[in-house]
This record gives sequence, structure tokens and C-alpha cells, in this order.
Amino acid sequence: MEPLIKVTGLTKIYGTSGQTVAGIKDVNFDVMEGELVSVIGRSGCGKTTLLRCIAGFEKYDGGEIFLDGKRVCSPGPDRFMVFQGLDQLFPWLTVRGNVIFAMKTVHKGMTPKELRERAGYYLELVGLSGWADCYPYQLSGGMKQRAFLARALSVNPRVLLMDEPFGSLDAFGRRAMQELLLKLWEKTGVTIVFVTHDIDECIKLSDRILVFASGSLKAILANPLPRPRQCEDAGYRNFFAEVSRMIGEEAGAGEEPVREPAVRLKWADATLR
Amino acid sequence: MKTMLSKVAFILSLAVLWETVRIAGGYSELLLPGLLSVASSFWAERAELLKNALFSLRIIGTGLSTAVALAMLLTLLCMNGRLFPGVITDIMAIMHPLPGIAILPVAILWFGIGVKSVLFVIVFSAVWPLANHFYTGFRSIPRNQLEIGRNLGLSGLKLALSVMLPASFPHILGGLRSGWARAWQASVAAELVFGAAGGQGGLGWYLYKKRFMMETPGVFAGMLVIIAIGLVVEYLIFTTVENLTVRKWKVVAD
Repeated sequence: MEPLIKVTGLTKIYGTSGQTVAGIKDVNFDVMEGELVSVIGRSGCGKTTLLRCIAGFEKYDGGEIFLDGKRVCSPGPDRFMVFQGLDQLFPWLTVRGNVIFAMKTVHKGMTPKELRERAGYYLELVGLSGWADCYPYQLSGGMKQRAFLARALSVNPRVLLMDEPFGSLDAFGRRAMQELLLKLWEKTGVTIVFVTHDIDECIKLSDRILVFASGSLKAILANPLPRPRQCEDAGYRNFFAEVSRMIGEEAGAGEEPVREPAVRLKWADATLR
Repeated sequence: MKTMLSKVAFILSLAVLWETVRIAGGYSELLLPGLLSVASSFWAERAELLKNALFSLRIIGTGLSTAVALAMLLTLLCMNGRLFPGVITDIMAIMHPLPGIAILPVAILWFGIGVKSVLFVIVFSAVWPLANHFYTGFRSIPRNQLEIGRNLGLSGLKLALSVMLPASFPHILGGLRSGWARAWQASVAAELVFGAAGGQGGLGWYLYKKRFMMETPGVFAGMLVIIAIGLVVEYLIFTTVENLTVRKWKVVAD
């Protein structure tokens, strides 16, 4: 079976002439259709950059990204982002209005009645039926997260890209959102790439874990634990220790991204263009 | 209701103060006319005042909408080019502090004495504060909202109209407010300086005539009409739009 997302030799360099900083270098992996894959690493390791490259928001300097065999070069609703931060809803539209706006923009030719029904369906799916006519400022952080999910699913993307989406929630809110995400994933079968820095979160959610350190993909770990996963499960602690060791080995490098010599930039340019 | 009452009380106390000063100082009607003579001058000339006010409003409407369109164009150029932002922000920095009325001598040379010159001054006065507000508004749109728009496949004009415009609406409204004030100032000032051609003119022209004839109550009546129009637009139009938009969305502080 062909992978849904194929990333080969992906390299992204930040910085101006002379001093260059590698955002990510030579990253290779596949994501199969329907998979839930986590990307974990310290801050500054390039995991957000990777997600933004897949989404098409960042131009990359080397390698290729394919979705369904087609090269990714610009943003599109087939790869829908859930960003960090709670300001993603349009404040001038109600919750329902936000979902309808997204669907109307992506799926042209739906009647107002269809739009309303579909929006209602997705809002019910995330448990926001009672809040459909509220404006974003009236929602709590957790409800906003639910609304982001409803909007993202409503455009029917091939893959959902999530960038530390639950980082701003408290522990209870985060657990509720993780359970909701798993429920939605099982129900819709959507492929998910989920960036996090929380080891428990990535173990509970994902089929496979991509461990990033200093801009490179250090390891791909298959999650051996059966679902649903609890901290008390046999093998949980061992797997936690393994993931933690993979991330922690880079502890000496600290939070600093790796500085690459300028030659690297030239090499990357020559290969890619 | 309470705020309404306090406003009425405020205006009444201003009127009492006016009359007290006038009577206590024993000023001549030519310097400080009584409220009654202002009111009777207003009533006697109501048709003339209405005609002049409508003329002013029409010319300001034309000038302001031209200025809004130009400012939008400048802002969109600023947002989309690499060269434009620097050039246009420099031009704005140069032009913004220049009072619109200072361009009048040039306008008269280019367009002659008449409506065209007044229009030119109005557009010139309003376009810079408008562009400034629009540009600030567009740059202060949360990145997440802009990227959600792009993620949905929007770009260019569609993105500008359906995401950038509403997202920067508080600033756009602020721009319209100061553009409107600038346009009024410009139209009255321009007519006061050189009058109007062909017997047609706005409230500035009315003030000019009344001052020329030393009919001071008429001058005050004209000023009160200008103030009244300003209040009506502020409370009826701007405040209503604000209540229906940015206050409803809670994107501005109360």
C-alpha cells in the first residue's frame, strides 16, 4: 500500500547569508492512511517547522513532500492545520458561522440548508451543539479547541496537522481533549500528524512516534501498547523510558538549534533546484 | 437613558454659561451673540442652511469614498509587494503631517477655484490617516487567522475581502472616524479661505458669507449645524456600526 504522506530528504534552513541555522535536515518518513503519528522533541528541534512544511506554509530548501503521490508546495484544505494558540476562530463569526465559512470556502456549491446541517453534525460530534450561536469570546479554552476540531473535520481533509494543540489547557482539559481526539479519529478515520512535547500524550495517542532532536529525525518508534492506554499498563513505563531516553540523549545539545556551516546551504541548493 | 439625561444636562449648563458670560461681560452682539438671536437666525435661514449642509455632505461623501478607495489600494499594494511598503510608508510619513489646507494653493493652480479644488483637498486630507489606519489594521491581524484563511485555499483579493477586512475592522473603523473628521475640516477650511464659485457652496461658504456681512449670529448658527452633523454621525452611524460589529464580537475593550 502506498503511503498517504511521503517525506524524503526534507531540509529547511533558516538564516541569512553566512550564518545559517538548520531548521530541519534530511528528514525521511512515511505516514500511512488512517494512521495517528506523533512528532516529539524539545522546543527548537524543528517539529513545528516540519508540520508547517507539510501544511505548505514554509518553503523548504531540500527534499520532497508528497501527499497521495502529488508534490506539496502550497497550503490547501486537504492538509488542515490546528495551530497553537486560541485565536484561530474568526471573532466576527459565531461558532457555527466559523464552521460554515470553512465548508463554504472549500466545498463550493453546498446549499445554505446543507451547510447548516453539516455544521450542526460536526458541532454535535465535538459536543458543542449548545454553543453553536456563541461568538468565540464566549467560549472557554477547551470549547475553542473543540470548535477548531469541528471546523478542521468539516472540510474533510486527507490529513489533520496538529501543532501542540492542547498545550494551553490544564491537565483535565487536556485529558478530555485527548479522549475526544481519539474518538473522532476512530469515527472519521482521518490521518493525523500530531506535534507535542508531552511524552504521555504521544504514547496515549499515537501509533508511531517520530523523535526529533536538533533538527533531525532521530528515531521512529512503533507504539507496542494496545489501546486504550493507561499509565498503569504493563510495558507503559518501559516504553515511556525508551521515548524519554531517545529525546534525552541530546540533552547536552540543549535547546540551541544546530549551527551548520555555510557550505551546507550551497549543497542543499545544488541538490534541490 | 441616564447617559442621555446627563448629556442634555451638560448641553444646558453650557448654554447657561454662555448667556452668563455674555450678559456679565456686556459683549456686543457682533462679538458674542445671544442664544436667542442665534436661534432666530437659524430659523430664518433654515432652508439656506439645509441646502449648504447637503452640499457639504455630498462633497464630503464623494471625497471620503474616493479617499477610502485610494487608501485601500495603497494598503493592498503595501501588503503584497516588496518594494511598495518602504516607498508608501515613506510617502505617508511625509504627507501625513501636512495639513490638507496647505495643499489648497496648489489645488487652485491645478484645478481652478471651485468644487474640484475642494474635493482635491478633502481627498488629500483624508487619504493619509485612512491608509495609516488600514495598514496598521492589516498588519495586526493574528497570524493564525490569516493562515487559517490560506489553509482554506484563500489568497489575494478573496483573502483580503473575506478574512483581512473583517479581522482588521476595529482599525478600519478608527480610520473612517478620523478620515471623516479630516474631510469636514478640509471642506470647511477650503471654503472659508477662497469661498465658492457659481453661488454654490457648503457650510464653509455659509460661514464665509456671514462673516463677510458681519452677521455673527449666522456664523454661530452655521457652526452649530456643523457640530450637530458631527454628533449625529458619531452617535447614529459610527456608534451603531461599532455596536453591531466590534463590540458585539468583543474585539475592542468596552
